[in-house]
Amino acid sequence: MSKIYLKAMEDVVQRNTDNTNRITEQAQGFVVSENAGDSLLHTSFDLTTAQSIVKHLHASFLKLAQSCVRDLDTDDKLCFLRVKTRKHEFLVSPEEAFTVTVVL
Amino acid sequence: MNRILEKVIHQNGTIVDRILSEHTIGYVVSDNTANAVAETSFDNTSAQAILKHLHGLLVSTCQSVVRDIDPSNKLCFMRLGTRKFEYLVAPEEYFTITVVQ
Repeated sequence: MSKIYLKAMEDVVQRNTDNTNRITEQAQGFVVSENAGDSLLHTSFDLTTAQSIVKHLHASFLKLAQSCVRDLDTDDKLCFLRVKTRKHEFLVSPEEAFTVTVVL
Repeated sequence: MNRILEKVIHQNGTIVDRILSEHTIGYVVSDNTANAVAETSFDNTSAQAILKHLHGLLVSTCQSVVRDIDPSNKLCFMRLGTRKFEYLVAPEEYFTITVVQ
């Protein structure tokens, strides 16, 4: 299963090389995880940091944010999430099969 | 507590007016200790929903998530972009402010 997602992700990255390079220049790093199993697909961080972001941000907080938005308005849907903290800023983009987090 | 809020709003009157005059749909300011709506432009039902879900559940969970990832870090601001709206949530020491645009 992961290989299919990995292949699809590589296709998307290939098609958006310019955007990817521009984002990667500015960012401290990025994490991509698949939604089905909340497993790490691709990252520029070390494994511990990436696993921490996947576990807390993707698996726990993102699911809660999505359900809160759904509770507020049943027609609505979470498209993007920015969490600004003292040191970093997390930009979380939940897609159908992947979740991408960029850390500024 | 509401006197502090009124003083803050008065001091920042021009900023508040600018925020409200552009694309904003509304705002909610809630008191953290009493967990109640201190000031809002919405009707009570919408304000209570935002208070319960965004201020109560989402802000507290996000604060603990940020602490879990890096114990010396701290949540400053949150933006949720959805299909219809965008929620801008600013958790402060005594108040939590949400602007919907």
